[in-house]
Amino acid sequence: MIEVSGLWKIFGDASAKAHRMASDGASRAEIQEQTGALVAVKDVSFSVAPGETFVVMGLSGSGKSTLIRCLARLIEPTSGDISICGADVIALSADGLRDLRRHRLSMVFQHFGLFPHRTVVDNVAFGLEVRGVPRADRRERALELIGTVGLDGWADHHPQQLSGGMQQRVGLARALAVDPDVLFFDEPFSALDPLIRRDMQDELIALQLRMQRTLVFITHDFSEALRLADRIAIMRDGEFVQVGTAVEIVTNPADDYVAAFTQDAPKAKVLTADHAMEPIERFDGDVGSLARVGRWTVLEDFIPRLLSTPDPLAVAGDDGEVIGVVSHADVARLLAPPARAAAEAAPLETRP
Amino acid sequence: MNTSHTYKGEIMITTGPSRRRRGRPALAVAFVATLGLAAAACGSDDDAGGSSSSGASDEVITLAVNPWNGSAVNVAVAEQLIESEIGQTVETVEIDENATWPAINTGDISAALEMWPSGHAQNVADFIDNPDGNVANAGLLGPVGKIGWYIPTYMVEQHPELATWEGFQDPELAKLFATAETGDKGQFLGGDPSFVQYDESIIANLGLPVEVVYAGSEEAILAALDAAYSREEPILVYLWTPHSAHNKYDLTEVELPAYTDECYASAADGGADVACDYPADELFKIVSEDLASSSPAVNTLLTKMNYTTADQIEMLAAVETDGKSIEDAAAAWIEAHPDTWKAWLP
Amino acid sequence: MTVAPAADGATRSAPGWPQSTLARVGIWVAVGVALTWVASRLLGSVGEFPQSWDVGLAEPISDARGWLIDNQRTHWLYTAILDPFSDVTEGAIEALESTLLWIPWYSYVGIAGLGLWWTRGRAAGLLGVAGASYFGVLDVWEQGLSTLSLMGVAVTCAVVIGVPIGVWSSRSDRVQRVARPVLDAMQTFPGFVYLIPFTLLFSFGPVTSLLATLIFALPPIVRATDLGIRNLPPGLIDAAAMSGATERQTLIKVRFPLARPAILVGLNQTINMALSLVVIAALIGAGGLGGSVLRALQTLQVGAAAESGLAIVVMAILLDRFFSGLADPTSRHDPARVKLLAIAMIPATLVGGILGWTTFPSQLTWSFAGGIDRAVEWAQVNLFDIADSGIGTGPFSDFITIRFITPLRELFAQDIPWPVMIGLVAAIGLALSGWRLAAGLAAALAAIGLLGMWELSMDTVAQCIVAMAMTLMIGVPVGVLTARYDRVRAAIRPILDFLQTIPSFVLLVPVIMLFNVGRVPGIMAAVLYALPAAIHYTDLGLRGVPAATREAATSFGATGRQRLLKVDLPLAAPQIMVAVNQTIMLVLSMVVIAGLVGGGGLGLETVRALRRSDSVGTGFEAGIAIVLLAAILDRVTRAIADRLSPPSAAR
Ligand SMILES: Nc1ncnc2c1ncn2[C@@H]1O[C@H](COP(=O)(O)OP(=O)(O)OP(=O)(O)O)[C@@H](O)[C@H]1O
Ligand SMILES: [Mg+2]
Repeated sequence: MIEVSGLWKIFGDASAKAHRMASDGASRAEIQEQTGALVAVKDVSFSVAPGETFVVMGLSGSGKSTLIRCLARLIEPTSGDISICGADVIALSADGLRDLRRHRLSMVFQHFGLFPHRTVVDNVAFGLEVRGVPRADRRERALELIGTVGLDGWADHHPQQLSGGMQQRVGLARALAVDPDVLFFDEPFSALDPLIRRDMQDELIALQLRMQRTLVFITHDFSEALRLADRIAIMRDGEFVQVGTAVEIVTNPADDYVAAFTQDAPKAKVLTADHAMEPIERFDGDVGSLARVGRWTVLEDFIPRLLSTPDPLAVAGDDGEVIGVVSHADVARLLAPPARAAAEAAPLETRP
Repeated sequence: MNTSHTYKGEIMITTGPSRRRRGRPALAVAFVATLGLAAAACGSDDDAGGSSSSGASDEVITLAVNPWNGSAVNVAVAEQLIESEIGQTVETVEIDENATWPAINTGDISAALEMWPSGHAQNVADFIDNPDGNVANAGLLGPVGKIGWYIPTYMVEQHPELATWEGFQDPELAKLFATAETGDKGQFLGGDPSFVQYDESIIANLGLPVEVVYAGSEEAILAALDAAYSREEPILVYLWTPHSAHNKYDLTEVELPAYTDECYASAADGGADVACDYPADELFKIVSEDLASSSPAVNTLLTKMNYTTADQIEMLAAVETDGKSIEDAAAAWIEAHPDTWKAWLP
Repeated sequence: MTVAPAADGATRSAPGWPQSTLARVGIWVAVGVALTWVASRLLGSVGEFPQSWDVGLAEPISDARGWLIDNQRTHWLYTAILDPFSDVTEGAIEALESTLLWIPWYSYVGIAGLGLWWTRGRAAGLLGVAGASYFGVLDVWEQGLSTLSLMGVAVTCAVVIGVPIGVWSSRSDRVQRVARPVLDAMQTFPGFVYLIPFTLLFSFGPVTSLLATLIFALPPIVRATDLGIRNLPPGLIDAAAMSGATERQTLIKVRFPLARPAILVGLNQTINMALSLVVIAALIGAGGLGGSVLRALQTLQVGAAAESGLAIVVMAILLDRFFSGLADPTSRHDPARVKLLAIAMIPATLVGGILGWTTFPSQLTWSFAGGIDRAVEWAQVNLFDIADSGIGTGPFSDFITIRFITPLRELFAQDIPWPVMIGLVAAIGLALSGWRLAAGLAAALAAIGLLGMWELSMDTVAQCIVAMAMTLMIGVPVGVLTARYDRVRAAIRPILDFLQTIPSFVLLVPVIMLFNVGRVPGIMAAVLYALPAAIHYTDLGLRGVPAATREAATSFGATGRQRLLKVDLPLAAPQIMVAVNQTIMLVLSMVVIAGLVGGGGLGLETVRALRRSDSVGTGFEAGIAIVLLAAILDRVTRAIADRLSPPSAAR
């Protein structure tokens, strides 16, 4: 659905020189020092399958927004190829781009981006309005979506009269109104407080289950990524340093930067008995007397049971066979902060 | 610039900017600005030229009222005579003197009745002498003006020498007129830039320890005069007669060396050699050249119009001291002097 | 859809501040003074700006005037374009005026009352009723309507022309770059100079007055539109783009409605500017309130002038309150009742109009002119030198002249040779910003010399500096007070409104009576005129200091004074520089008034241009010199403001 290859975005005049330096391995800071140009997105390639939720995360300033804005061509990429729904986004004419945005692509913004001079329903209907849908039709469709996001009765209010969470529901409804294939989210829930954020995530998950759109979702909150993502890309200084499933990233961080992200992640929610267990071959006790747990059960769900007895649990494979055992020590090892584990293993400085 | 207590509205013979066309209230009533604009666009062509027919014209005559009462009474007399004796409608417009010339040149204004030669050499050259100009000199009005140096009479009483320019040769006496701006020298308050001023030359050529400070406007001169008078302070100013200030303050003209033509030989190139008194200003009238063909009767009347300084002062006194309105003063004069104005009729 | 990247390259290193800046400024100033002194000594003999270099703009302008006079009646430029244009415009103004005169007086009272009630509440509604009645009570009804109609057409034209230009300029940086200096020049070029040439172009009276007003009133609405459209939250434009809106759709459906409050603020300023030209327009036959002011002043009737002047103030305040209320869409009061009353007014208006109940009942009129005249009379006798003590407006005026103005003028015009002056200004530009500013400033200053306006300009600059210093010495402390005490602010607001909108002409006579003809009365008039801006921007800057920052200072035990000096003022410094900038601009716009009260300098030349037709050329030169001076001072103060801004977040 989305194919990106070799995407660069360099802010500043000396983009050619900066490009060359970056290709030669110079760091972002060095380049900025010498050329004044800022490499915001550096040689990023990835693809997103239809129906997949692809989450990009990284620290502030790592280039996430720039990336997604390039994808939407809200800013012009310096170089690279982007294809969305089969369209070569870079090559699209203004008309073609507009057409893409009117029918197949939508975006939800961090600060909602709602029009204060329009009512909720007119905000939601905006995309339909610019594409020329008659008033009555677009109102009907907008009201339907307002219902979908749970804002029945608020249609004729102005956005300012709504709470933050409700405003972002409007943003979501507006994005959905044009029935897009692809949705971009730039930190849509960052401005909301934690409880509301959770609600919104649940809402999105439920919607996604029903609608099966292709989502590119930006966040700097790893737990949010864990909840939503099919795959996660970790971004640093404009580069993708690792792309993988949540489990891959948690269990096998590519470097310290990624590890630092995963450090505070709620691993108990990600990792399963499968990750924690010792293979049955190494266990010399009697598995028959042990309580059982499914192989793909996340830690969170069986830890209470584990803690209620001094004994380990038996892990059952997909076919019900016991394939391993998980003990208190196994779980503790997995949940221990990896930094400390790493520090014990080898001093950081000596790493290449 | 014969002005005095003019209360608002008195010389406002017509209010506001309505000139070339007669009012069109009926039209205006119904339409807002945009409609009015369109209507004006259509309507303007019929009467834009203004000067079409001859003889018993129904053209509206527009007279310029320049901002002093002398000008206003002249116009009031002419207005009443044109309306009663010739039967043409007159509108008046208050306008700055310099802006009057181009307006007469285009025929938007028909005439102005009191021009001071001192202020308009360039305009005369551009609009009257110039063959492409469309303004005609309509002869003298009668009254004669004169620019000069004035001090309050109480200064002359204290220092009789100051009655003539020689008194100002004495640095001690001149210093009485000193201000922070002029330091040790006496201050000469130069005039309204409307008028020619040779004061710097006169001062330099007579060797007086006096420095010119330009007041920049008639209002400034009058305000300074009023302030000095109220505090009985020395002041030396550029002023002229006839002027209402003379009714209000007791002023004495400082005698300068008498005017001669030779003395003013250099006047045309800036007057660096001028060292004598200002010449008399014979007030004159100007009319649009179109007027002779479009409203010959009015043209004749305005051209012949001529009365004495005494006639004008009679009306000004009625206005400035007795508080009559300009119209009433003019009507009273017309009533009292039929012989004078009958001679102007065509 | 593509967002133009912000000016990436311009990451100038922000100065460490405030202490280090102060020290650095100190060193720069010391070095500058020393170098200037040495250079002045060395170059002491260069004398005046060489006369032979004078580019002599005056002659071509006089020639152009000659051409206009010769062709005024025959050329197609007139017959095909200018004359029809004049006729149409004049017709519109007259039609509007007649319409306004047809409407019965009580309708105006009602409209003013209801309009303000609707936008600002009942108390404001009462203000509206009182304000509209003022015109009737003081018997300036017809003049007021005449002014209102001229202004109405001028402001309508300003909107019709200005908003599209503003939109255009907001969409293109190139257009903005060209438009900005033109707009600046339109506002700083003295109207006196082009008034008479305009009468040559467009007959006389309403059209010329309209154009003169337009030139002065257009810039604010263009700027406001431009700024309003540019400074929208970027997210919204992205949102529109992502919905697939075209540029046009975005403009009409998003940018424009969002910029509406900003545009209305601009409209408000445009109205104020238009009103401030009412008196000047009257010089060429526009009549109205301006005409009454002029006529009264001609005979020193300060009271009568003040009555008409105050009518202009009242008109300005009513319109200001209405439009600023309108700019805030959340502030609407009793809409149902207002609507009902407004509907009820329609038949009342028609009946009154048809029956001709147009004039305000004359038995209700009243005048306070005599009182003002007596007060002015009293002041000029008693305040000039109070009980011969050496204290009073007279000695004060002498003190300012002798101690400040004369030495400064001599310093600029004589003691510092012109090449050193240009070098000095360039050095300031260099220190503040860089070569480009330095070169621009030097070129502008040199151009003033080439116009033959060096000495007059230095005279004017000296006066401006004194006026500016006085304004800031009063304005900044008052601004500090108003920022701290809402009550003070509320109390002085009407005074500031009054000072800002009272036609300066009205002040002309009293300032002379109190301060003597010379440079001081003009300066005093300028101080009074610029004071509101100085107070306003200081107040704005101090109020803009985040509450959290202020609380932090307090929590560390800072006293009120410490907080003011160490936190509030440094943080408000950029805004205070805006105050300085605005002060300078306003002071410069009073140069002409200075020329009318004996201030000499460039002002007198512009006055000459109005009063004497052979001086139009020199008047233009002086006008251009004023524009250039304004540009120089504007750029310098803005560069200082930039330097004073705390380093913005790294991009
Ligand atoms: N228009 C621009 N011009 C110059 N630099 C820019 C521009 N937009 C972004 N940058 C820079 O590019 C880098 C990446 O910015 P970006 O907004 O993409 O980061 P981000 O990962 O979205 O951060 P955040 O989490 O704060 O939103 C930052 O250093 C930023 O300063
Ligand atoms: Mg971002």
